[in-house]
Amino acid sequence: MITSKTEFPDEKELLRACLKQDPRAQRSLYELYSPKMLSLCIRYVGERERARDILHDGFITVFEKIESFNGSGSFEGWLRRIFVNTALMSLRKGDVLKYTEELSDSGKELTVESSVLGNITSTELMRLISTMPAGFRTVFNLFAIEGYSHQEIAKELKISEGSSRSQLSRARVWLQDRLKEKGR
Amino acid sequence: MGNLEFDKRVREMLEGHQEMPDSSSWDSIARDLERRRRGRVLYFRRSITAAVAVAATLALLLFLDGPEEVTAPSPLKHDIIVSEKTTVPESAKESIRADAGTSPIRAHKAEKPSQIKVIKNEEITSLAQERVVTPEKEQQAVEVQVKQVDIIKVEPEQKRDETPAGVKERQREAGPGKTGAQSVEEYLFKVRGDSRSTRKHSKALIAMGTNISPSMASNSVTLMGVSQAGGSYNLSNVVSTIQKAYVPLEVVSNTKFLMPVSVGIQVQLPLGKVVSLGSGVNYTLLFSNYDDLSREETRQTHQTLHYIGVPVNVYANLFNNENIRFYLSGGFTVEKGLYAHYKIFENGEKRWSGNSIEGLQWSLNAGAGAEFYVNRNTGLYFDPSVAYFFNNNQPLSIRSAQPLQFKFELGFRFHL
Repeated sequence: MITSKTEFPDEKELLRACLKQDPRAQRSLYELYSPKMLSLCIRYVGERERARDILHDGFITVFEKIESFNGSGSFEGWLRRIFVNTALMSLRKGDVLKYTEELSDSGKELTVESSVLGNITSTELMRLISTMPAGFRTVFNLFAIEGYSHQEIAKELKISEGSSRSQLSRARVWLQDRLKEKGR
Repeated sequence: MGNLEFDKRVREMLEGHQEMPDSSSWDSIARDLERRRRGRVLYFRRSITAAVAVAATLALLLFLDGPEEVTAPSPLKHDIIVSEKTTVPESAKESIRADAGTSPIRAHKAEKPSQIKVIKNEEITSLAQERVVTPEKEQQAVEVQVKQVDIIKVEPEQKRDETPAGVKERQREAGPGKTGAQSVEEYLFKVRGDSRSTRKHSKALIAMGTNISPSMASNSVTLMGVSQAGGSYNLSNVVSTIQKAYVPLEVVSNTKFLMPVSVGIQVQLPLGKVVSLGSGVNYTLLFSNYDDLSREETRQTHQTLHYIGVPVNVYANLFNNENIRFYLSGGFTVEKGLYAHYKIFENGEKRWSGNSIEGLQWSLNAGAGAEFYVNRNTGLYFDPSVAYFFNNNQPLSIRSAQPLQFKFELGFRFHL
């Protein structure tokens, strides 16, 4: 669904024009989704400059491979997946994930209360997440935001499922501690 | 429950969050897209232009490739008087006599007093004799040349009707296009036998060369997963069973095809003065790199495909002199995949694997080339060409991703 003002009446028309490599349609698509996708990229890599590079590579991929979107699911979902993959590729190339600590699963999940979020804004939350250790941040993003299972995360990051659980748990606690500090 | 609630709230807050990119971000993307688009268009146009040019030239060549090769002799090259001491076969003399007085060029020659020497009583003059004009000082050298020419066997002279009617009759038998002068020219063409073009066209040759195909590297993310299957570029249809084991099926990102390299040896046999047939054997390596970003696999795969092939080409000469030869070529190649080799990096660990390749790869090619003669028997050649590779269910490579390719072949030819 088109949510911003473009010359294309609906998403279908916009995608059809993008398929024809229409530069105006490509720009419209970029303007429509780039703020969300840049936010996603920053969440994964933590740095705005690096996120810009991922945004660039991601959109090039989108425009070159748009014909592989078969229309069966949501276009935004397809788009997000490309940007997540591009961000993970960038992290992998930078050896960020290689040194992700293999944490043992203590078996006891630490519980975090949602009330700690209080009145924090999304911008403040973004800043906090971008300062998380890379391993915590990646697992937290994949599980909490993208909805990956621990099995999928384990395969993606080449870590054990237990380590994925453990990193997620510690990421939540890390975030809770920072939120509490902020609330004081 | 608390954790899931926490995750849900974080997700809700972040899903709506937006970060405005810099104004220059789109410009950078647009420039990159335009550059890629131009690259594709340029490649396509070049391929079409090259194919059309080759086809048109081949057609022109076939149209012009008639039996009439002997042209009117140049007055500069054939400014000749036959001296007393030269020995011209009687058959050639006959033609000259018959032609005497009819050619304007010959009349012109006869008017040059400095070149007219004492000539045998018959006053044989010729434009086509290729005997040098002979001032007395040069007489000796000319005689040497003449002796070389006279080595050829001349048919024993038959008793001929030397009357003008008899001469005319023989001329008529020779055909309307064959003047007396041309007959001599043809005769000498056969006699001398030292023309490089004649030598090159009439001998077989062996060529040894290497071939590279500069190709556009691709850089893509292709979604093939359960939820995204059905894309227009279905990798699983292209790759063989071998490749399926090593090339990620769900998501392939940053696929790069490197420049193919071939080496080979070929024999060419002449089919005529202009056309020759070449065949041989070549060995080709195709390199590809895959960075796998699938949700199930994370690895880098370096693929090397080994092919051995038999090219069959027809070559048509366009131009040939002592230093260089230009020609067109066209034909097909059939290749058998020998082995697919995979070097796989996973989490810093390296391992190797591979398997045989089934089926044959067929391709068509057309090109134009030049050969520079290094010496009498050796030539350095350069053959740019365009090749089209058919979809023969071979492992994924630059040939399946980009079936139309430019090839540049470089090597030596040894003329036997």
